[in-house]
Amino acid sequence: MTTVTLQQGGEVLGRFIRGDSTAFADIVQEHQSMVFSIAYHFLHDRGRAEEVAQDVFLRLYRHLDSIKSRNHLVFWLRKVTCRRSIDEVRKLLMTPPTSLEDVAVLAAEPTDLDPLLSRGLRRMVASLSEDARAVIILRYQEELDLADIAEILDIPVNTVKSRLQRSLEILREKFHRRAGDVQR
Amino acid sequence: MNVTQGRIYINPALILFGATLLGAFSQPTFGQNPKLDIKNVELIAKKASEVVDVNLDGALLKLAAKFMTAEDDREGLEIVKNLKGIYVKNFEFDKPGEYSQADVEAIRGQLQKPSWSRIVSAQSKHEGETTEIYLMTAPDGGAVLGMAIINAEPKELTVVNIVGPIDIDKLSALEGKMGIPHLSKDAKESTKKSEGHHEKQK
Amino acid sequence: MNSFEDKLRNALRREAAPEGFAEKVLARTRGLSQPGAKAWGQFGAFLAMPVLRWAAAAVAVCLLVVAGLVYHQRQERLRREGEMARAQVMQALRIASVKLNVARKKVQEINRETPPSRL
Repeated sequence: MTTVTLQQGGEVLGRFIRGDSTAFADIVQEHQSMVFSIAYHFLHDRGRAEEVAQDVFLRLYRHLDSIKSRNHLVFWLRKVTCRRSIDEVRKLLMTPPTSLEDVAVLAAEPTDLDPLLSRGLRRMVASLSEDARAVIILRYQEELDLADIAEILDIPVNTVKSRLQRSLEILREKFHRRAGDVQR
Repeated sequence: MNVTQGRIYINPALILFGATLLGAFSQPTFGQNPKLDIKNVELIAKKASEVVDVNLDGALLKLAAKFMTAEDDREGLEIVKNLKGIYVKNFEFDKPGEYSQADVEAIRGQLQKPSWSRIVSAQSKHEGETTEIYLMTAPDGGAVLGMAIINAEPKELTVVNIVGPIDIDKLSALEGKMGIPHLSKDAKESTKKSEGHHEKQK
Repeated sequence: MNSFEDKLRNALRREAAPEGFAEKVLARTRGLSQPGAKAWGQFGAFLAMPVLRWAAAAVAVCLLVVAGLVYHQRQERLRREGEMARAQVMQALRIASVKLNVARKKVQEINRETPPSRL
């Protein structure tokens, strides 16, 4: 996968603004993993996650003239992906299904030390409410601090904090319960 | 002027009265419309072997004038350029008696109005031919407002009505031009008609 | 570091996008207007598609040809009407002139034949 370095990110944006059609392709290449992953961890469904991710990039294409910088671009992508994923969850009222695609993921990622565990955790995350899910994904996938999460989700920092704490409690509880079951 | 017999007596008082009544008008008014109603003459067409029917109002005359650009058209253009209408009915018959004097009287009656003046009335009893020329002039006796010609022959009837300031001298001067033949001293001359119409029998 | 959070972090690490994802996105952007384009600009992008551009050009040419034909026909009709009107004028003048001169000739003959005292 070709990546564009941080230093080049702003240049790519500038190229697109100036009408360079290949610049948008570079933008997609750089950020597709982030966008797809947020959607996937939200929805726990690769097919739906791909649709959501594509939709996010199409929206970006239409609104790229409003993007002011590379940081703004990343912020915008995270924000829109979360919002779009939340909308998708609410629309589908889904429970995290068992997806065979997860098996393919496991096979493709031998670096996962405990693929079963990871899969289990992902399913647990997907079982959280959509608001809690967003906080967890942005905190642990994107490694964002509470202030950034608050800005993306447009909620107070304290709300982020409380949702994060609550979500971790639920996940730990589920995790340990599941680990106890496994052990048995 | 009546050249056949007698004189035309014109009461000067009548002329004065007419001029006073119509003096303020330079345009044709009631009774001063130089356009004749010659619709009834069209009924004669059914009996005619050859018909020439020309109906050119102001718009068509303007259009025609645009196309009269040849050198030969110059004199004709000079005549028609200010006219408001040209109407001609010409009928040729295979034998005499195909039309009646009553048909002609319907037109002649319109020319009896005071606004019309008969300037020529030529009759040839031997040939049975009558030609009358009428002019309508403005009340002040100035501009010509229209002209009418009735030519009745045993096997031909022609009615010409020209609306507008027609110059008779210029019209007469077209003889020998534009395909108009010179007339010999013998008035019974064959007239060359346009394509599609045969010549009169001598 | 909280081991549970590490596990969570590991479970939620970024996934690679599916194969061909970028190509699919780019394919869907074709036909969309450039960001910030005005409405007619979108139309221009629409027309930028080669087939549609040719179709639009063909339609424009057809319309021009039709307009030209209509104009030519109208001019031709006017010319015919004008020529006909001219021919009618000439014919009318011929007839009027002949009849006028017939009458005049008769008057002249009678004048020659009739002694002045009788007028």
